[in-house]
Amino acid sequence: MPEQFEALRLELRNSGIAPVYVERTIAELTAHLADLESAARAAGFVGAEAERMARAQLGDDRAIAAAVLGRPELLAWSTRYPRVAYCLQSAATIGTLPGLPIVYCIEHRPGLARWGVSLGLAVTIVGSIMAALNALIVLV
Amino acid sequence: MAQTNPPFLSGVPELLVLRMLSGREMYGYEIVKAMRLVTGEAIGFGEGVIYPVLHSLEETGALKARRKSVNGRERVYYGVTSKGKRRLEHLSGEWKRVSTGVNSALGGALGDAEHA
Repeated sequence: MPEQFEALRLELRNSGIAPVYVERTIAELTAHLADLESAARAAGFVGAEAERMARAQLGDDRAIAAAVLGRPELLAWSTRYPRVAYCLQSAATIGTLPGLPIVYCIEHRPGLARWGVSLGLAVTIVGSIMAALNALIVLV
Repeated sequence: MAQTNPPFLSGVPELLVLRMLSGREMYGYEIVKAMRLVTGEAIGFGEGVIYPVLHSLEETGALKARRKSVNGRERVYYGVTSKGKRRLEHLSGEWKRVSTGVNSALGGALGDAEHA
């Protein structure tokens, strides 16, 4: 039954309604529709007629969407205050940048360790050769 | 964005919802049934529009919601908070003031019509 309200869900999401309220609206509408259908069946209506009556009583998607969108307090925080959200997002990005090399090093520990050892050995060998050559020059 | 009510009627759905919930906790379908019963079905609306009203009141702290499983079905029950009780008193006062004014205007208009 929730797929009945898929178009409504999309419209509310795209209009910036807080996801928590979008999902709750859909869940509560679904339960409400089931209650209305049960009541219609109890009143003697059957099958498609009970479903049609229940849907009419619940109201169409456009009216429900208009009622939700008419309440700005249900908008997502980032939609209500886009500039603040944008600034916070930028600050978070800038704050994260210096940490990225550290995170990279932690993630690539084994490879970096191998490179470190190789580089250390190379420096030691080249240094030793240079020192030996230097000694030979001095002695000769 | 669409405005569902003219501004001067904007407090009526809140007033009715808070009044219905002032006695006990209810879920959406129950609230609508109770509203239809106490208003003698004088107010017609698509029942689905009750949820934005409930969520809005919850967001402003006038209602609190809690999930409860009843007969295997998950329900969201709403109850009035102390802030909601204060809001109900305020809205009731406003409504009485407006309705007194409208009634007296109608009375005056009817009186004038009778004199003419």
